[in-house]
Amino acid sequence: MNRAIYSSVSGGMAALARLDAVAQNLANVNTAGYKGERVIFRVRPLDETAGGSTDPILRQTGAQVDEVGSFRDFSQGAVRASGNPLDVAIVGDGFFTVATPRGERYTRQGSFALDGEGNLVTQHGDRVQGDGGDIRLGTGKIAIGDDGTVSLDGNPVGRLKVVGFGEHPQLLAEGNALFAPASGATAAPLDAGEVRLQPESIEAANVDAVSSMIELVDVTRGFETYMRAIERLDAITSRAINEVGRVG
Amino acid sequence: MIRALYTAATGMNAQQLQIDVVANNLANVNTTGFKKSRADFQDLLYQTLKAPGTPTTNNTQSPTGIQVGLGAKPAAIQRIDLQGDYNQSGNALDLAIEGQGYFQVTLPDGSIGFTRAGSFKLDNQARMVSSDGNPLDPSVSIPAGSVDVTIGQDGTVTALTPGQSAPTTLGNIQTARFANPAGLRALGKNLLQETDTSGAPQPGTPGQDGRGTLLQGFLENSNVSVVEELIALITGQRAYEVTSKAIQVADEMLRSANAVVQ
Repeated sequence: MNRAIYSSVSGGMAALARLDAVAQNLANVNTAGYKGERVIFRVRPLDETAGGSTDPILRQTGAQVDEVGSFRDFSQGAVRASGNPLDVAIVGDGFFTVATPRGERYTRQGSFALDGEGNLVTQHGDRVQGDGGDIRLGTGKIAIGDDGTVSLDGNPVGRLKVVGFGEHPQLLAEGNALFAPASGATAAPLDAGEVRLQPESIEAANVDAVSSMIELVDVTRGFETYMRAIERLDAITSRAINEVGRVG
Repeated sequence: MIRALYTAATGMNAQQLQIDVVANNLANVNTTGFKKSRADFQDLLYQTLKAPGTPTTNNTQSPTGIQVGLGAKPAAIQRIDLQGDYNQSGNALDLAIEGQGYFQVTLPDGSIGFTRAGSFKLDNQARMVSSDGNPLDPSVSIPAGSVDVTIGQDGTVTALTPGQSAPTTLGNIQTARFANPAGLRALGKNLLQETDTSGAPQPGTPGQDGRGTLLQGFLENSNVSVVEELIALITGQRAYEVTSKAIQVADEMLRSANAVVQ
């Protein structure tokens, strides 16, 4: 059969994968601390698609595109003031540390709450970790300083444990705004001088609606092109079968 | 079918909730003692198609893997307990709490409800009651014919009762505070109810142990800022719109895929 059909199909599948990522980003455009998802493609090496063929023509045709990975864009999201003392945004590198039943997890979503015992928790109820474990607040006026010091009625109670993963964090998204370290990634606690927090603020998602719309247009039209190509290639095959091979 | 269709739909649901919450805040902009709410969102679970570290050849590995997100979900609707503005009413039985704490009223079923709305009235037994007729707990009665009703910062109620030349202390209004006021359950009618997450109420004298003081002749307005809500409304609407585009695109892609086979 015509190898170009498979190339077009692989292009269409790539467009679908991009659409999945854009839809995910747009669905989370109002999720605080959300980090955009991107998909990476490569041209599948020719010897893989040509089945190791030594035919020079076969090796030059039938290139296919292959989804190799997805990665997260950890760039800074816009920080906006919320006026809520339990909100805090990280400016620059770093992640808040959260204790979950599965172990320590990391988040950029600093819109915290309190549980019934007065512990600082995420919106999902997992306890936010300080340098000395859980941060237990009682009743009183809560303030979070720009170095992460949490104070109750002016008395420091603990300091938010903010960790870094270097310039390119190897983290897996788990949902609930949490990240788990990928194998080999280690969390390095950041010192007071390395952490910059913006109290009473929220970090918005770093999803840009305009470029997402452009990507959507690109994905739709690209997909359409691949589908038209398949249609044409099919017509060629049809002619080869029904016209060239017409007997009598 | 296309995964993106469902992913985008979760985003539209989330934005719809945002609009619902904003609408409730705006509807209560003139409700005494109302505290605004905010919808917080989180990303949904991820589908891992290829784990990072999967070998790509004998001696190389996939550095990132492939994770596909499946959308967004509402994580919480949080009540924001910031102080509202004060509105001078001049009415002797109107009270505002400056700082933390809630008035305690006895509900018809005997349980205690908590409220920031301090527009009290008298009922036919001369008890101080909320606008809905729920008496304060502990109960305070002001006998008929009393004049110069004064409520101190600490909740002491005094008045000149008929036949007396010096003011008489009629009772003390107590307020309650909570470890986590955001965990209180809203019952409507300006009432809140204790829950496991709010912690137990800590009743006491206003002005002590961090409880706010009382201000007579004032009411606490809602803490809804119309400008902020309108911005939340616009961002919610636009996010809804932009997410719906992803659905349109998925639909169009399905259409062009369908056109291949005629």
